[in-house]
Amino acid sequence: MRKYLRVFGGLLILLCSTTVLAVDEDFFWENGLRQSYFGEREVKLDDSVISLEAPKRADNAAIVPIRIRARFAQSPERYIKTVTVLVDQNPTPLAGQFHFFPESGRADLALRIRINAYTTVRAVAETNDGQLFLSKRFVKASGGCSAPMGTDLDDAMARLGKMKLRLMHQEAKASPVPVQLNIRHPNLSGLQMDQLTRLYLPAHFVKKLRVTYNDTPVLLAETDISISEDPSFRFYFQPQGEGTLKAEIIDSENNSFETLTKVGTGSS
Amino acid sequence: MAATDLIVPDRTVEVGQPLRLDLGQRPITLRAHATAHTNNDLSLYDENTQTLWAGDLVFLGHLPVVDGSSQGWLQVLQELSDLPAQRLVPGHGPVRQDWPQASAPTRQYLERVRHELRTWIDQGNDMLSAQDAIAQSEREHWLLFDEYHKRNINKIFAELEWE
Repeated sequence: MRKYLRVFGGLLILLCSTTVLAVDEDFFWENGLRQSYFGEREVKLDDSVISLEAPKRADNAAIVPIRIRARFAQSPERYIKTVTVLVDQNPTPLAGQFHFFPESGRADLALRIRINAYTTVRAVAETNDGQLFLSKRFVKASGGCSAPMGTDLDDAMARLGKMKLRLMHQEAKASPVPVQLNIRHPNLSGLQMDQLTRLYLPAHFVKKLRVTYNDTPVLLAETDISISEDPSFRFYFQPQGEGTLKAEIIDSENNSFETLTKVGTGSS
Repeated sequence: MAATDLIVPDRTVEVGQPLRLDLGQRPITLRAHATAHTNNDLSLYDENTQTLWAGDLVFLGHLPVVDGSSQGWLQVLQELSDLPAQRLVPGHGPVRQDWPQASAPTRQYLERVRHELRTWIDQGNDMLSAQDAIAQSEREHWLLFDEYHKRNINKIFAELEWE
């Protein structure tokens, strides 16, 4: 009898732990997150609008590359307006809100984020008809928000705001072009300790990003401390003949920086 | 215990200014290095026995781990290669008697990752896809490849994309 009890007990523990795990992945989402970002609106778990790609286990929690793929090209009739990236377990779950336009060509986005604890990462797309679609992945990583900087702070501050804006290729005029934007910025989370003084470095991060093509918005974003140091964004835009692609950022200290690149004259 | 004094560190070894300590007919040279394996690498050279303690600037067996700068690391190994060391004590792996050849596996790994990643970045590929694609031929040469290689890719990718 005792043996049976033990087996039964074991089964019970097994059942409970799987239940707890299953609940855990959506616990924060269902208990506040969804409501605070989307109110009572319906958010469909559905990968048919965007799909999120993320590593199952991140090897460097301070720089976790993730990618969001749109399932259709942007058009004035049907397009993705906003992609909201949330990291459930981060101190500030909202990593960023990214706004796209028909002129964006595609609402694809690749970026690097910090992950503080084993967590669900979410991308929520809002289409131009106001519907919300969620794609989520569970990522095992921890300590990304408090991890020391990859470089020295003095070096990072000396090159603050340096930007690199590059068109990856331009196959045909008709198709959207991928763009890579790199920004030199320590993007301090406020949770990183100075190893010598044992004091926390104050948060200092890129807050706003604005990319325009001949002054027409291509990508606008509000970002927060969950974006990795030296922020990197990969996105698309639809060129229309010759023009200028411009990227501007504003950080939490109200520093602003910008960079330009010419498009359509073979200068990419 | 009455005659015991606590001696606290009171000298700093600056990068580019080796410190030669004479321990009594036993000169030891300490070198602080610019960011390489980490941002605080120190090596030690004993002139009498011509022994170089390279610390984690040299890995043997255990896959090199990049917490600093791959370019800086290659540069430091280049600088140390001139030392007339007869013996090397690496940070990981056995003592060797073939300096500077003993650093070849570390250099080759870093160079291969850098070479393949540079092409990868030029072709417009991103960091996520690099993790399973770059320098896979190095796997058979190292222990703990699966534990540290992807992390190295992340680190070196972020370094090379600014070149």
